Amino acid sequence: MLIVTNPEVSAVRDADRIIGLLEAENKGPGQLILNRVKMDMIRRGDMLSAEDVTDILAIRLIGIVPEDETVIPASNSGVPVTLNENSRAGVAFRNIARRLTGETVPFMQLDESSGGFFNRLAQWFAGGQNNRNS
Amino acid sequence: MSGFFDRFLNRGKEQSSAKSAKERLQFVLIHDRINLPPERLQQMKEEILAVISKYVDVAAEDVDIALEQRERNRNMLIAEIPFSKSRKVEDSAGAAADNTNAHTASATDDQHDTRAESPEDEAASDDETTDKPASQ
Repeated sequence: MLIVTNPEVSAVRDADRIIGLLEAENKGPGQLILNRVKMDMIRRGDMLSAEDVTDILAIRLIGIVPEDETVIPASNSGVPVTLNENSRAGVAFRNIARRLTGETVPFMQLDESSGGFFNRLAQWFAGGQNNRNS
Repeated sequence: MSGFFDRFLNRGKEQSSAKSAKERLQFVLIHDRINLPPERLQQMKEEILAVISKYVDVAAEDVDIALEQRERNRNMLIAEIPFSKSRKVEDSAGAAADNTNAHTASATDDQHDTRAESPEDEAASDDETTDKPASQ
C-alpha cells in the first residue's frame, strides 16, 4: 500500500487519517511517497523534511519526488513523466518502481537543483542584501 | 555589512516554519488518533480531578494530565497528581513535634505522587513493560 503526500500540514494530517483507516482494515501500515519536495525550502527551514514526515507518520519511506516543472507539461501532452529521461521527478518515480520490485536503490540527492555550492553562496549573499534593504 | 551578521546571527534564533509545522502536526495528530478533541480532554481532566479530590487532598495547581505518544497506536494518558502539602496534618495537631513530622512529609512528597499511566488501547495494555516514563 502506497501513501502519497506533500510536505504540508493539512496534507500530512490527511495522510495520517488514511494510514489510520488502513490499519483499522488490517491493510497497513503501507509505505510513504513524499511528493513535491523542494530541497532549498527544506534547507531554509520552510518545509518539512522527509525525516520530519516519517517521524510524524511513523511509516517507512519508499520515495521522495522533487517539485519539478516537467510534470505539468508531461500531463498536458499526455506523455508519462516517467518516460522523460531528463525529468528529476521521472527519475524519482522510476526509482520507486524499482524499489517496489525489490531492488535497493539509494535515495537521489535533491540538492543538485540549487546549482552547486557557489551558486548557493551567491543566493545566500543576495538574500542578506535583500534583508538589509527591507 | 551589519545585514550580513544580522542574518548570520538570526539563523536558528527564530523558530523555522518547518519546526512549527512539525509541532502543530504532532499536537493535532495525537488528538486525531484517539478521537478526543482538546476541549473533551479538558473536561475529562476536570472530572478525574473531581473524583480524586473526593478521597485525597490534591495540589490542583501542580496537576499534570496529558496525552503522550510513544509511537503510532501507543498513546498514553500520563497523569501526575501530587497531594497538597500535608495541610491536614498541621491542622489536626498544633504541637511543635507534629510540625516537624509535617515537614518531613512534605519533603518526601515527590515519592507520594499519584502516578498513573493508563494505556489508551488494548494493544498498549498487552505490554506491561511500557509502564515507565518516556525517556524523550
